[in-house]
Amino acid sequence: MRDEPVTTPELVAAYRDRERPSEAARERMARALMAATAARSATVIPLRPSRRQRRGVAGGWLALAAALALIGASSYWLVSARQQPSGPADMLLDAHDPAPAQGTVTPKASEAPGGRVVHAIAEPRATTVEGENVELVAATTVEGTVENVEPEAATKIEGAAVEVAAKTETAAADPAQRRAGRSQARQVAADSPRGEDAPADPVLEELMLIQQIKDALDAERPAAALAAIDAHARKFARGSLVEEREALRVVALCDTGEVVRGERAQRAFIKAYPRSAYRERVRAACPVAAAATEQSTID
Amino acid sequence: MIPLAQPPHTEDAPTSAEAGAPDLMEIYRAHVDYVWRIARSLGIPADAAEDVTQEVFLCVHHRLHTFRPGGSMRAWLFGITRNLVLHDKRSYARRERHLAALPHPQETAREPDATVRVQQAAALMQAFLDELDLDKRLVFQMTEIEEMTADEIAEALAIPLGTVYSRLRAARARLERFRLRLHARDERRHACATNP
Repeated sequence: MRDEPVTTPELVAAYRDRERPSEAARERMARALMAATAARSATVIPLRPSRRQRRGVAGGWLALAAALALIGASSYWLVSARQQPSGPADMLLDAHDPAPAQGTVTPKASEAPGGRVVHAIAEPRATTVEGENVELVAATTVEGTVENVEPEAATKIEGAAVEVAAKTETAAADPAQRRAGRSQARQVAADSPRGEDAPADPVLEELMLIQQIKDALDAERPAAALAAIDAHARKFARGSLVEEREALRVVALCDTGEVVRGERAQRAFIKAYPRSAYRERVRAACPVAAAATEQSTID
Repeated sequence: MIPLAQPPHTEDAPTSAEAGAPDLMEIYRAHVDYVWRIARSLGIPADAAEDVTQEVFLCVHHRLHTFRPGGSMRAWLFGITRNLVLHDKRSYARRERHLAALPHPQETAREPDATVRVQQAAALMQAFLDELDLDKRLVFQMTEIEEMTADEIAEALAIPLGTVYSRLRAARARLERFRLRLHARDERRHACATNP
């Protein structure tokens, strides 16, 4: 430092200048955000549909609920008029009623396909808002279930849970791609290091490899990043940073322009880690192709 | 005293979006450095700050409709950043521990025009901030570096205005002591250099 004392504004300016994202990082984030903004309106994600789509799905459920309610209520009235003198209030208070009226049909729709049933309290004010809440609960339950089942079963569960959205999505998804995704996952799981040349601190080695991947991506060398990813996958098939590696794989594949593989990896990642902190970044990694696919799915 | 209506740093200037319907990219451009620095202050290591910052803005994209138009955008962003950091606290803490154990931790590449003097001054400021506890550090950082008003800081941290001022006073007093220490050290070095 020079002789004169450093002033506070100088310290502040220097800190501001140094403590900020690099230009490359800024651009990367901006690209991802713009892609997310563009793709979001057309995104159909089975486990976590966007708010707009959720509303759409909720609208579908409500229409279905209204139809069921009309049928159910009329038949209930026919039966109950003969059996016991219960009025509409009694009907609304009975959560196990097979054919409740109006919004109370939604608990029926909230049966989670993993064998778990979500009982919503059938209050008289169980209208549109509660319908949406119940649906969210169902989605959460399904997500929790998916984590513990094998991928094929998970696909089935998705299809059952998010009926309308998942049906179109599953129909659009190429079965061959899904098979490939599964075999890829198995391959990764198969070649576990288990032993011979395990270093003293494998976590440190893992971290260094992950750092290499990030550095390569920072330097816009996705091919080198992919090589490092493969190296990590070979050495740490079941390492503690597999989630990070797979997220970076999606980013690297999309950066190299390998859209098909990128999308496949993206689907596999979201399926394997539905609650990952990287999920949004992974979703935004292959936005153009994802948007095109999803647009055609919607149409 | 905290500047109440001082024009903020151009980069972090509040956008016209703050008054009306905010646009994600405008928010991003205006506040990306702020979010990055807040994430770093909350303990996110340099190599993970990009991930966190990006997550924050994706989160902003999802929750933009919940932003209260009259409120402070930076106070709102602080809340999102803090929640996100706390949510992933364990994983980041684990990463940080491991990274700290690395022999030569690699930092994100800096801009090429960062001179030695700027780097030294920035390192000094970092050292000073690291000396502060988190409460004082956030108030100091928001005031001096982010140029936020006292009201904004009180809103962001959910503390009374008086507490903002008292923490700032304490942090500034520490900065003064820190600068005196530095100056004394430089004087000693200079004396050594001139009288070997």
